[in-house]
Amino acid sequence: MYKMEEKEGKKVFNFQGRMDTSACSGIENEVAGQVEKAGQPVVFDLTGVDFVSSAFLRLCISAAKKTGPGKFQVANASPQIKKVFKIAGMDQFLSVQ
Amino acid sequence: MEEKNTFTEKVDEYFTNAKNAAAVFSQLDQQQTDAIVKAVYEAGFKNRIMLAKMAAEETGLGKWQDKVIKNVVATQFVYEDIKDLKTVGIIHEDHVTGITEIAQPMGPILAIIPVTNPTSTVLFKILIALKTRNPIIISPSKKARKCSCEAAKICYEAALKMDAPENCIQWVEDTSRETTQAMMVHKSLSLILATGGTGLVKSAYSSGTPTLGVGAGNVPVFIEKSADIPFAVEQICISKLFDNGTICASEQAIVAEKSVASKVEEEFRRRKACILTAEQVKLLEKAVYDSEKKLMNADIVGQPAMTIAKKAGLDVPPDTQLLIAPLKGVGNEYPISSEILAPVLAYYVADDFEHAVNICIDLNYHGGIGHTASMFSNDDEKIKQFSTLMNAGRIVVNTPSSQGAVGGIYNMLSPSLTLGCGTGGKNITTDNVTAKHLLNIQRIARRRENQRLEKFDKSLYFDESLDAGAIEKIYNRNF
Repeated sequence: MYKMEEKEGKKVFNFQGRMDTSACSGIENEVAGQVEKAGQPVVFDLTGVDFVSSAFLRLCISAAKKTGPGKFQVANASPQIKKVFKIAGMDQFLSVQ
Repeated sequence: MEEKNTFTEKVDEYFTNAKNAAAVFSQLDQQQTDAIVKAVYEAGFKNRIMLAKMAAEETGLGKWQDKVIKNVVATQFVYEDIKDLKTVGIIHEDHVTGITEIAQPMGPILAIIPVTNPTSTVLFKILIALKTRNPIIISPSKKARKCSCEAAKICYEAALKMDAPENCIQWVEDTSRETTQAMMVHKSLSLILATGGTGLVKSAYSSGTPTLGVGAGNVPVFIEKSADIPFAVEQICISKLFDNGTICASEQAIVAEKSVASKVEEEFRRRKACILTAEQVKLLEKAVYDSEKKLMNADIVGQPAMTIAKKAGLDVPPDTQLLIAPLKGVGNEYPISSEILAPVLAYYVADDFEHAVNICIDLNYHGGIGHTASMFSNDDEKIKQFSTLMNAGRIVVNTPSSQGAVGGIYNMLSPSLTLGCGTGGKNITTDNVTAKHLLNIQRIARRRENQRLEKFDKSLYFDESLDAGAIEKIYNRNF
């Protein structure tokens, strides 16, 4: 469902496919734990993600809070997914690229 | 100060949830959306009787059996009406004009729920909101909190089973005037669906948030001389006695032409209506109308005729179903000429057609502008004349107005529990509000040359000797 890698001093989480409620429930705690102990900027790479649920949005909010201001980024969101973050108003407090 | 922050945080939380739900909702296609709507309709329909009994018990208004019918209208009839409506993505394409219409959701909706229809309005508003992929927050009446929240909960559980977004339906259990006010002005709110008393609807409009509201009703019923009198009176009784008169589109005053008046009165008496004396009317006025507030008394709303008769101290036959007050005029000096949501009717005898229409105009403009008017007639010319002179969103003909105005039962109006009253009622539409009103329609406007303008010598616009007529002639010339 996701892969993790170190890239240019950042911890990058690569997600794939539909991040619906059931997909998120399987990884929620694990991802939150990894973000918690990252100690460096965190990126959620959404290349290949075509659906995000409320649970995934919550995961992003939690990651943004844990990493602190300016240290969390959502990257490679498709226009459809970028719009989801806009509608939720989340682009106000986290970076969506 | 701390309490205030908690309160604000609470309101903010509803909208954070609603915005997230809106965001997730935006990804659903028509098929997924329709599957959610179907599941919610089925759940609402399945619980129609339980919710009706709960509403009647909690509010003490109306009859549970009639509330079952309201719940049926709000689920089965509304679903039938909206199920095939395109509400996602491209909904219309016209290759000739080059215009393509795209439906977009509006965003979080706040639904104000009236005490008179506390479960049916919830079911109805939820169905039209979900059909258009809008999250909805139910704000119930204090006096109907439990049943309205239960209806919302049933819908939400059914929606979640079909993978609807979390928090696509929320409800305010500890509702208060302050919470409602704070929600109405919240920056993340997209639309208010305001069904309720005049004060509440006015606050909604004043909030600065786009609002689809309703107006007060004061429905005149004209029984024209060509009408089938027994049928007309039967229909009026069915309508006015429905849920003890709690529907705002229910008949408020009967206007009969003199030539048919005695037959009208005879038919009403046959159906257990009591036509009151002038002294009895005076007693009834005091019981049903608050002359200071210039409004019906809240405690008689939805009560049976005998309860009201007893409260007024009227000596009427014990099986009386309907109280009819013959009046000489319309206005504040004749309190029963105002809206009374109970089995009470004002009654007027008119000399002729014109006189009758004039009385109906007075009634219509006495607190019911833009709402509903009713006529029983078999003369189509007179139906058109009457309708043109009424300021009403709906003019129902040969129909019980309670059920006729809400649509889907006796006519092809959209089934709705939110009846727009036009600008007269301070509303933006005269329509029966439904799913189509909850969409932002985007239009792709492709280039299509205006051929006449292309061939027109535009320098002629600078020739002062040419007036509009001359320009038009050249502009419209066929080459």
